[in-house]
Amino acid sequence: MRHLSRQLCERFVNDDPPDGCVDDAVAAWKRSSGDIREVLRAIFHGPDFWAAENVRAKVKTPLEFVVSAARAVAAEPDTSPRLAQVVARLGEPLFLHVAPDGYPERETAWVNSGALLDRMNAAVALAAGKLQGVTVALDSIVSAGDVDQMIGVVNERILGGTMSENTKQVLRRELAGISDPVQARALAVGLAIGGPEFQRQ
Amino acid sequence: MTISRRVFVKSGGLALFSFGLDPLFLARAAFAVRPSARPPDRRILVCLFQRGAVDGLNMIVPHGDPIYYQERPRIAVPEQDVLDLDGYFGLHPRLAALKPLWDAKTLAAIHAIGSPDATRSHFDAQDYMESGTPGVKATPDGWLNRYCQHDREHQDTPFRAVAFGPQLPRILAGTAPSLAIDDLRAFGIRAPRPAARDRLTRAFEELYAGSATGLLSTSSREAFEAVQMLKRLDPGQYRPANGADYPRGRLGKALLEIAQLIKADVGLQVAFADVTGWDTHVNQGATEGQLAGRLGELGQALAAFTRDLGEWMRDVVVLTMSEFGRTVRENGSSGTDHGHATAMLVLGGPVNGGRVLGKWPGLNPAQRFEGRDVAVTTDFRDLFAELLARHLGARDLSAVFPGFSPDPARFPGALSA
Repeated sequence: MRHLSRQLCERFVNDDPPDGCVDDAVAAWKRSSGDIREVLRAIFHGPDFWAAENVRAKVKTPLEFVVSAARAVAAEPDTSPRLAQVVARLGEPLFLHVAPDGYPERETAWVNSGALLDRMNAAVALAAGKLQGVTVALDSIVSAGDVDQMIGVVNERILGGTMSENTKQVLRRELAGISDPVQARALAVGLAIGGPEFQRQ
Repeated sequence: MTISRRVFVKSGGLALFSFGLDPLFLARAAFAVRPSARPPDRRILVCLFQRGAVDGLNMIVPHGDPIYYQERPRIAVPEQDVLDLDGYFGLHPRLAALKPLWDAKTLAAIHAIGSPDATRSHFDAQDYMESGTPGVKATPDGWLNRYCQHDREHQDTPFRAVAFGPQLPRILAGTAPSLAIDDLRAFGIRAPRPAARDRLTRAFEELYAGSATGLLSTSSREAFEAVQMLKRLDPGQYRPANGADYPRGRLGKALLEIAQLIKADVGLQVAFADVTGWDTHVNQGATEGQLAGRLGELGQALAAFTRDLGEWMRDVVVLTMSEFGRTVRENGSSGTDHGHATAMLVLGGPVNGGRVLGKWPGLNPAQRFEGRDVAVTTDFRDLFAELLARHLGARDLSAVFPGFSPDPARFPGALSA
């Protein structure tokens, strides 16, 4: 019970969850005789869930990265397994984890230099509409046009308003040199999705 | 805030000058005078993991023991096909490419080596062999990574510890920087034109340098340092030396890329690659067949690697490892099932070669582990510890193998004194 509660907290709160939220989950488990809805409710409503040190503390798994990226650009997946192959290339072949313990939750399992570069490449390809298995509809997210306006929309629609000042500056500088607004938009979206803010849940 | 490359590179502790010819030349000159005084930071350990549990008995064949032939009527390697090594043991014929290395005393085998833990689960046994803590599941990092954490005499470069494959293996997981490279030529940001690639690379580099935190920050820094070094290396242009002919497939490619990094002198100290396909439960084969094919590729790849590296091999040790061995007796499907001890190979200039090391327990049922498998007489940590201590110069082995006291008296003697 405690083990599973801890795993749920690792999944939703932090790779190293505070004891408090695990205790809360265990208490809810006991109260409800193991109703997982009650256990999850206890985790989501606990003080640790929204504590500053736990918000955006977790790095996306490759699956979460690909799915969130595809959603962020309103991508339409085709019926082929090609998008799932992208997830596999990023290190998480679906349903093929070798050991019987499931894919790990900890960031150390997913973040390494090669994997990060792969995510950046996938992001650039996705934004350019060149990622296999999906059709991208950037027009529905951000219209190509003024640089500052595009950066603002990318921040809101893709990064949920978490874009750092540094990222804004880099985007501004990179986009300034590009005359074609469609290309500039693809670059902004690619850098945003491949950038550090988007790697966190 | 913009971070210039100079600051970036400096903060990463990257020694770009190691690309130049001078350090290599100086090192070689030093070796010529005092061959025993090789600086430890030029020594390299290459680890190959034979995942799936290689049948040590058909790799290093105890052809001098009639029990071997009694227990394996269909899959024993016939006496006349075995390449005899010492009158009792012999090489599988498809490892013929390794025989000259054996004769040159740069190849040794350690037989009856394995884990003190009795598990016959691939998952658990691989986990223990990589964590270096048999029986302990909770160990968060791998022993190669712990070695890198604790041996601070070797400089951390982006290429100090590299795993060749899509994911960082357990053995290299941990806080010391380590790289996973699936394809050296494709490592980096991809773009149709070099100018666009450089521009994108710089933009991402600045995004991460400015806003990433924690592991995202350190990993991205390692990534971009490695990308810069590789750019100078131009891996697409690499041609193996001395007519070395690597076999097609993942292993040949991994060893070719390891050789390339060694020659580029980028600070590689620990390299790792997987070799799969050893779980031969069904139709294992004997002189020919399934296992023979895998061994053929292994032998060819190691021979090509040695040939390609030439002189460089004096500082290189290659170690093969596998999670356990296989049953002495063949099963009903002309294969072998999960066993206990297996054989490992060590190859390279520093190796005390031309001999089968380790205490041979014998194949009598009474001498076997649980009546069925080759018993373990050498704890794998004794071999790993010997290589770390005597080859790489590790000092604090208790930190690398917690709960284990490495004792030089138990080292199998894989390296020349």
